[in-house]
Amino acid sequence: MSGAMPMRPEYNSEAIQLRKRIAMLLSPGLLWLLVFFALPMFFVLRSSFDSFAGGVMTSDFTLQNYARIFTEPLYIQVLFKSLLTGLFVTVSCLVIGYPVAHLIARSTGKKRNLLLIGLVIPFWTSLVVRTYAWKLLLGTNGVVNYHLMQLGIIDTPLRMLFTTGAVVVGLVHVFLPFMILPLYASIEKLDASLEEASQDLGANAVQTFFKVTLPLTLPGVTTGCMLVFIMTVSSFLTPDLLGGAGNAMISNIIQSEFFGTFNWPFGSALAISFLLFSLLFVAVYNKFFNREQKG
Amino acid sequence: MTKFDVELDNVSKRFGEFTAVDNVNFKINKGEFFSLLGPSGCGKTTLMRMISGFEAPSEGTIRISGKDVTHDRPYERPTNLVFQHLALFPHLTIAENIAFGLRLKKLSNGEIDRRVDEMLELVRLPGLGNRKISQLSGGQKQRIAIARALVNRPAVLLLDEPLAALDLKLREQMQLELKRIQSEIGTTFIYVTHDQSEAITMSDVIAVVNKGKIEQMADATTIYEKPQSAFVANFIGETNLLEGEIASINGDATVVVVEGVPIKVKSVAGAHVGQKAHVSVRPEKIIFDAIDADSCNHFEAVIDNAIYMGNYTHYQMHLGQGLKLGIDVQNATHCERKSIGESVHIAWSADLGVLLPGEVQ
Ligand SMILES: Nc1ncnc2c1ncn2[C@@H]1O[C@H](COP(=O)(O)OP(=O)(O)OP(=O)(O)O)[C@@H](O)[C@H]1O
Ligand SMILES: [Mg+2]
Repeated sequence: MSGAMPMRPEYNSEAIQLRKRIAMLLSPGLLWLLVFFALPMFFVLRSSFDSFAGGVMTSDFTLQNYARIFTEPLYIQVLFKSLLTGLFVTVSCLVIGYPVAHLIARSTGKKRNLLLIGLVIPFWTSLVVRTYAWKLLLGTNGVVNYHLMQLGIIDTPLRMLFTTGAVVVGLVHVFLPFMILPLYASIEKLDASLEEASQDLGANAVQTFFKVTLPLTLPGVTTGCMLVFIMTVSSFLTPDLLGGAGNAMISNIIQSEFFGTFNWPFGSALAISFLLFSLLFVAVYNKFFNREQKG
Repeated sequence: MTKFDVELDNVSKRFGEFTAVDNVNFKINKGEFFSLLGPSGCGKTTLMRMISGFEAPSEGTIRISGKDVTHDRPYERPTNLVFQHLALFPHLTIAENIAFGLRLKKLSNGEIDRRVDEMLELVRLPGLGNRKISQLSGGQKQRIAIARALVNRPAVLLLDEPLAALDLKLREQMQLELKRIQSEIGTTFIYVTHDQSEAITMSDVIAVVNKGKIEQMADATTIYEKPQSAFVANFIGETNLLEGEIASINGDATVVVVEGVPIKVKSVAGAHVGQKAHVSVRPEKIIFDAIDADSCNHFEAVIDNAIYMGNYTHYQMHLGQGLKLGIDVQNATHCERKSIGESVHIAWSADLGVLLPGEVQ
């Protein structure tokens, strides 16, 4: 014990060294965030209190923009619809992605590597190109309609493009890998003998899934759902290209305020409201699921 | 109804080209403590996985309580397996782990609670039901794994090296516990181990497995005293395995010449003069003595090494040109210990050696 006291100063200087190193390692990232994230966010926040009349922005401090969001039904509707789309896309990704993730996690060697590569190959192509491909597939004279007519199943082309359905299909396609990867990571960690133990104790495949596999892979489920939900709700390109005006989501509305009507203050207020709403949602979600996992 | 709980008929399992289990046959009586003993990789786990239904045999039939279960799913079989690495459910409490199988059978809550408590009592962990798995020690986890399997009242309980991860003291204690539990409930146990002393202390019947085949199946005494192959003699306990050639067979008396030394041993059927053979002599069967009877082997030897083991001393010695022998002598009273380089008389009765004709595979 007596040797412990003289050790302390040394230990302290080591701790300072360590803190210095951490600061050094972090500083490029922090600087980047400051210049390209925090500052612009501050300008957006500032401008959301400005006023806008007759095409002219005036530096001001008004809550008018925020009041408009909550009084004109359009914005609440779009917000609501975005959330609903997010929910739908997330659940679809989960249901489609889980079996795939399970298959990849439980295969071995070469097969697993091939499947994982297959999962990331889509990222080699630009999102714009992949979304245009859906336009070609779903359009009035698109591939799907053409074949349905050729086969005599329908007489007039189905309206598939510029529907909510097209947006959902497009978004599920884009975000599915973001669901599968975290699921894969947590299923892979799950000891396969736990699933066998469940079967040995009398549970069939379905019972084993709900009593053992799913509860033990919840961390992957919550991460995947969170990622997909947030990305869906804030998506811009897919609803723009596949949804058209009638299916605009929050980002499309914000964009049209900035570059359609040039009402930057109102666009900023929308952006800030949406950001706050997302943070609130994430906080609630985290609290709920962290408690679930601990208790 | 048959009196056998488990029957394997010509069961084989191949993984591609590799044969993990090779034409295994056995019948296990109801209530028996049956051990599968063998070195790592000999196919013990594969056998257990076939009996519990996780692996389908490439050939052969498996019957449990007279019913053919070869193609039944694991959850359709009246067996429960205690996994090599336990596989307790980390998201459930101890009571929930034990109740897992009972909930699936849709028993009433009262019945489930009663049986869970009964099991906790049986494995001597009463009142721990609400703890989490991570709050248990290794030995306690072991007991919960056994309770979780036994609570379902299986016809057969399969245990795959359940004590391998425990330290020696705890392992010995758990061996006694398991034996007590088995005699209290009378369930048939199939116990896998690669530890021969564990198999000897616990089993009614031991099947010694080597490279997917059963080498010998008998009670512990027979396996130890009358091994049927050099592999069994060598794998179970310590032995002097002396390799030579049969020089003469005279009724009950056979002589095997090992490195120029004639060794007398009891004859066995099927051996013939000129054949290669092994003689297995346990080190504790040889004594320091100068008896010169016809039915005895008697030699003069020089001590090479003496290792004090507490309750006994292990002597290494050589006789003649270089035939090496090891013998164990109890340190009974304050018996005089031999020293290195000393010349001694040793002897053992011919019928204490075991003649094993044929070469070792
Ligand atoms: N799924 C499998 N595919 C290919 N080979 C396998 C498979 N399972 C087991 N084997 C092989 O079969 C042999 C027997 O394996 P098994 O697990 O039954 O051994 P074991 O006797 O239980 O060994 P241990 O004492 O180390 O647990 C081993 O050589 C192993 O490599
Ligand atoms: Mg094994």
